[in-house]
Amino acid sequence: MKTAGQDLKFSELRPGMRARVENYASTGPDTHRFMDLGLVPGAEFEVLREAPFGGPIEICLFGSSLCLRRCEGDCLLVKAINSN
Amino acid sequence: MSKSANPESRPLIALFGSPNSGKTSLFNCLTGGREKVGNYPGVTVEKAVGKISLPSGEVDIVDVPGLYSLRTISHDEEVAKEALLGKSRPDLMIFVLDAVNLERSLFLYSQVAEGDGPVIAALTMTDLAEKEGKTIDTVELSRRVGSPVVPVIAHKKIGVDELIAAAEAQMGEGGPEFDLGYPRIVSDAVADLSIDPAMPDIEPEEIRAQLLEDDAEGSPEWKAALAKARDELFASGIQAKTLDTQTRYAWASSCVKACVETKGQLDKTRSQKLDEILTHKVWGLGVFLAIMYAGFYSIYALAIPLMDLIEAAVGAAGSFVSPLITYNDALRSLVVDGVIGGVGAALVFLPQILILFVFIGILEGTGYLARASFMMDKLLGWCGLNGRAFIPLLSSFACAVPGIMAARVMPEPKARLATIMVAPLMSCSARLPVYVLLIGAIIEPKFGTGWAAFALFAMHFVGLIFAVPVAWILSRKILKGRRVPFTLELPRIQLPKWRDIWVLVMTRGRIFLKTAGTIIFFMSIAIWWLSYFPRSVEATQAYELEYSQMPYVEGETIGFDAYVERRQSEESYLGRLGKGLEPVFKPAGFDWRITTAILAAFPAREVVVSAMGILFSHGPDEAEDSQTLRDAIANATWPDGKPLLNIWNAMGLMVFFALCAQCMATLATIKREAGSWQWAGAAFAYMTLLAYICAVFLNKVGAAFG
Ligand SMILES: Nc1nc2c(ncn2[C@@H]2O[C@H](COP(=O)(O)OP(=O)(O)O)[C@@H](O)[C@H]2O)c(=O)[nH]1
Repeated sequence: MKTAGQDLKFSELRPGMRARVENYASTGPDTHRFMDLGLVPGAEFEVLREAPFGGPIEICLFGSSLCLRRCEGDCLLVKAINSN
Repeated sequence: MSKSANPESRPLIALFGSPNSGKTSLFNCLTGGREKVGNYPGVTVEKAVGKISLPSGEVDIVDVPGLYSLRTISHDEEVAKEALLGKSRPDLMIFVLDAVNLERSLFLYSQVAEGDGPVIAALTMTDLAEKEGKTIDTVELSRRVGSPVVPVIAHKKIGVDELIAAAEAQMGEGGPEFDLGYPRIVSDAVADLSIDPAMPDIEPEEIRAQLLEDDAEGSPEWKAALAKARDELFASGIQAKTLDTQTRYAWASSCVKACVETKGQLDKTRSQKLDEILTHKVWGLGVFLAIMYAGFYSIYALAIPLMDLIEAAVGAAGSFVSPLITYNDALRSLVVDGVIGGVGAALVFLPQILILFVFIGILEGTGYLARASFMMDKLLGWCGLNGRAFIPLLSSFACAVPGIMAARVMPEPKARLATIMVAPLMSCSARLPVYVLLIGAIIEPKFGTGWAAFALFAMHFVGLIFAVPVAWILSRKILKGRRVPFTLELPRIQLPKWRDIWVLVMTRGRIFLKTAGTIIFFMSIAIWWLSYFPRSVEATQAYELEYSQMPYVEGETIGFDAYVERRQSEESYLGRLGKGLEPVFKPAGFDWRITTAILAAFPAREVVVSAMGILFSHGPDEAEDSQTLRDAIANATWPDGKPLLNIWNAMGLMVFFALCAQCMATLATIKREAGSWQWAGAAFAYMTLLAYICAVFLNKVGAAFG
């Protein structure tokens, strides 16, 4: 079980977990787009659900939804935070 | 109204906002749905322009494509940036703030509103925010963002008058003032840089942007000064690269905290509860299949009778006009077969397009479209497309024209272009007559009904099988441009707004008739001309003489009119072209008759059935399930007496029609949607080549094993 405070890859997140963006593994257009959508270092979000067939992951950020592909999301370095 | 940036013309208002913020609804409401849709020069992005009347006179309003950031990644965003900073700057900006996505909206606002032009903010989706227990203090918000904030609900026409009044009042004012609150160390660095001798003549905001974004322009000394300042920031623990975005989001969050009040801890909203089913791994797929089936079934069920009606009306118009033109056979044929037939050829697409866009409008308006894309992304993603390609590709099984138009739901330029290029490979309903004719003539008599049905089923997958590698090659190897990561927001689920759907459907229908429709019309006339001329009284008399001298054979000799018609089409330019091109198609096992039928079917595949009807001599009114035509094709021979079609080259012919781009409407639509004839030409070239190679391959296999 992943516990709070652990560094994770985006694709390792599971529905119901809360996480915080720590930093980016690389910079480029991908990271720019994600930051523009609000995934800036320090932003906290909750994982809502996964699409079928291992598709995108939907997260809740600022009270609204955002879906990212697992592989593309992996440029985000995230930390699990208390998932009460 | 004070000075205008466009002294010659009317003042210009530009509508900015992020995708899904309600921008289009507001635009439709302000302009009353009467917009002009064109293209931005050089790009595929559509430009919608309308007029609104302010108390002081009419002004133009342009709907700028939705964007997430001024840091441009996509075409749309470049267009938006150009609209903001390019030559024809707006005299006023209306910025759409989405109440349920306020942080994201404010982030974009902080970039867009930084200039010195006047801005007003339209706050949309307040009704949704209220349902979620949020109230927004617009007075405080407008103080913080430095420009008037007017709540609007476009589909209920709430707040529109206030918005227009605010626009009138704000014209000619200066830009909004707001303090993003950059860390002290950054402002100090900017202050230092602004007295640097190497500084080009720019504003402090521009210095800050260059410092943080690492895209300096200017002398080497200036770049060196910026680099040095950046290093100093880094040394004090600040990451210049993320700082700008972080600061803006921090500002946005502080605005939201100060202006939005949420009542207590809320239960899950209806939208969230629905989502648990709609995007569930098992139930969600079930619902998805049910919705798609219902949607496409109704498109089919509703469009077919309407298409039949249009065809009947065109036929009736032809028979009505035909006897009125007695003095000139060529003119009569031009009017009846060329003009009226051409109008019919274009109009017949309209029902499918309109109904498909009603369906898409409902999916979009309820928010389900995004859910479908979410669930389908993995299936489509690995060949370089993404979940949003689903609707365009599925629609293309009915008809590629609305399918390609539906690719408009994809904001990623590369994936959209790849989708447009493979959509015509999907087996559309116009291929059906060809399959039915050939399966009925060649496969069914030999192998029975079971295999015939299987062949028909299998033919629908031929294009799909080729679409996957084509999409992969296009998006991985050929299409240039930055790859945009796939991001998708699932908007709140709600009832669709019928007015927006109406505007969408009407706009798409009009665009189709104006662009594809006219091209289809003229192509139909061109093909009519090629297959009608040359024609002379002497030649016709010669055919009549030939007929009278032929020995009569029971069961083989055809009617007099059919014979003359066959000879006429044989001797037409098109027939001669078919004969001339026979060597090209010989490797595929096609003779000049099939070649001519393929050429005649250039504007539309289904024409091949009537063309074969003429060339195999049973008159043009043969249906694909007519037994006489089937027999004629099954019994047709080469001059040396060998049967013309065997199972292999008959399959080759079907596969040829499955893969070729014999559809002028599709090519014209690609031209419009992809922005240039080059793409239409490329689609035609690769599909024809693919079709030809496969047909030749099957024929050679047949020759080897047959
Ligand atoms: N409830 C509600 N829905 C809205 C409002 N404005 C727009 N919508 C709906 O939100 C969806 C997205 O709006 P649209 O205008 O297409 O957004 P755009 O992508 O910014 O052009 C559509 O289904 C609209 O009908 C609003 O103020 N309230």
